[in-house]
Amino acid sequence: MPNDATALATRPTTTVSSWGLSRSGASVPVPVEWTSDPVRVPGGLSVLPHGLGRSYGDSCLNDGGALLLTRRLDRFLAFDPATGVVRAEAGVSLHHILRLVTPHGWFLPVTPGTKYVTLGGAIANDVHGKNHHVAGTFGRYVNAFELVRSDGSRRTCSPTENADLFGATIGGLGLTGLITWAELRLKKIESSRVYVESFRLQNLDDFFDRNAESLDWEYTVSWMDMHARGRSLGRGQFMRGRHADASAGALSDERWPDAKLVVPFRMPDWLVNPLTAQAFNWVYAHKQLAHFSASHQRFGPYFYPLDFVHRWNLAFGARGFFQYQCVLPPDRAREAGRAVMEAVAASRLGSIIAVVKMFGDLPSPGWLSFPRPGLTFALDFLNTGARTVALIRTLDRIVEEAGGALYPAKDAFMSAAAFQRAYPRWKELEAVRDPAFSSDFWRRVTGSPT
Amino acid sequence: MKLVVFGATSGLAQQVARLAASEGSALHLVARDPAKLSAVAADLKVRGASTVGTTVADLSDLATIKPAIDDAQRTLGGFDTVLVAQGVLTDEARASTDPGYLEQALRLNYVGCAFIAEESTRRMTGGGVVAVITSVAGDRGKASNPAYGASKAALAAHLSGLRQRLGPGPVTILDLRVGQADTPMTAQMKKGALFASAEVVGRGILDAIRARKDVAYVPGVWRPLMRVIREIPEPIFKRLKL
Repeated sequence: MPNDATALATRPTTTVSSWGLSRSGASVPVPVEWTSDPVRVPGGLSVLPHGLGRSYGDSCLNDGGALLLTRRLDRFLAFDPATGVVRAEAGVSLHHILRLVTPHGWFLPVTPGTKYVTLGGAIANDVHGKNHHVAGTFGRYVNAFELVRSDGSRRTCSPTENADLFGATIGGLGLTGLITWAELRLKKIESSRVYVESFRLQNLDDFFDRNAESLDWEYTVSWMDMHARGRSLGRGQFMRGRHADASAGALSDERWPDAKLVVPFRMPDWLVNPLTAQAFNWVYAHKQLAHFSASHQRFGPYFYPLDFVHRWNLAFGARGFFQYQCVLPPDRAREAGRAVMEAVAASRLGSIIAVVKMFGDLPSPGWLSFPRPGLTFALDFLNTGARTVALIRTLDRIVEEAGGALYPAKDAFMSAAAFQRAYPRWKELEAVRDPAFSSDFWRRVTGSPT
Repeated sequence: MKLVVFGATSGLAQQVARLAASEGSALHLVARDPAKLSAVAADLKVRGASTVGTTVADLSDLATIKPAIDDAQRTLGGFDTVLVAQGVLTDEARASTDPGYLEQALRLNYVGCAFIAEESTRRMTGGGVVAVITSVAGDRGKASNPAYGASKAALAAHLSGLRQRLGPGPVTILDLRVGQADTPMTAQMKKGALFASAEVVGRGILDAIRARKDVAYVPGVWRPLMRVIREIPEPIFKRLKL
């Protein structure tokens, strides 16, 4: 059992933190290097696949158990530049996929806000991006993958073969087994630039109007000032974009360099505190944002602004931070959205940037997929202790009352009741979960002992 | 580059081969496990290698070496670079008590590598680089790995002799003194501050090949470190716990 002290005492463990640095677990590291490797389960322990560890809460942790480290499972199996189909081992990062495919005129069909996630991780969290309203989630573009389980079985899963495991594994948080390789359909592009239009938003109503007239744009996203109140509630910037045509910039321009700037150590708490964050936000909101601007942007700044700084999460101080992402159903979006923003503003807990978007209604093949129609907010809060937790609980109540959901990849607090209500198919996942696979998150939200 | 890689499924070999492949090089890979070899070959093809040939061979069986080199010559139409990367991190406790095991480890880590260097040199009439991964462990035997260190020390001495025999000329014999690298070979070892990532070491190896160095410490910090280690007088050295 995972908390068997004697089992752990005889094996070397590593303490692994998730990306928010507020949660960590001691686990036995089990490197996986070849797709032909069987799933090695150290006696008496549960296992969980672990890629680049970009999840924020505890969905990528297995305290007291073992982690199947997939970093060296990073080979390409095939890529067809004519059809844009790529097959790669589960530890290949989206960064390396982009490096390989963009010179040939292909892009990720769906990309999250960082390219430093593994292919396996992107599937396990069924990640989404700025184009959800027209493209849906990552899982929609997965043709097939191979799933290896602790009983030694190896299955190729697709919509037509082992379809149950296919649906359970997409968004399944690594609990159905180890993905060894996956095949992805890419999107055709003509240039290395994105054409972007930005609009100043006066308030939340402005956001809904602007969004409604931008539904045919490929990418839309906004940021909002979480300290604004009253009539300025929801002020910020709305950005819409589409891939530019070939004249805007040659595909060969983009080399995808590795991040050079590094946050070398955790910032001391006194440097990063609620006041500093508020000041930053105030300055950001009050600088003379043009009412409208348009430009061609390169992929890096447009899709991955935070990736420029390696280990940016260390800038949040010793106690780390919490990421919080919720979705509010369309019929409650305006009022619940307002309630969320007012709660955050009143708390003065310094969420620096709120990223806001309307999800579309394209269904995912994954059983436990987070994105569903409605308004999604992604926020982060410095971990200042009890007050942060109290705010998060307040937000949880707003979300619950509105019939919304929280994103497991970012979650550290969701109650079992809230999870089970928002993800009714969790029981089906539990039924096909590999009995040797478990995570801190799963134990927390399902109360299952392993 | 027309590169032959021995021990092609090792962590460092894969990194070097990837860099060579991304520049469109032609490669021939030699390793023991057919499934792993074919996974590495497929990866290198996707990454841009113009040709990827393979030979399955257990390099502790010295009779497999000449045929493997023949294969490489056939696939590539002659080669200009050889990377010798096979090896095993010896189980030192076993090496101390089991002379048969010690001999076998030496055969893989020294004899096979030295023979590949010799034979490659004979075939590379157009010139090029024979790059052999040795180790800083060979610079001075220490308590934690005398058998492994010995095999690498033997290899380094042999390469030095070969280099002098050839004299200045079209073929460079490159002794790659690799320091502690984070690869599957060292997976069970506790990683100290000096461990370098496989990617960093791979890049260092390729740079040394390009620069046609004779002896390269990878990463470079090991050169001054090992100079110090070598100078420690034996009455003091024997009291250290290394």
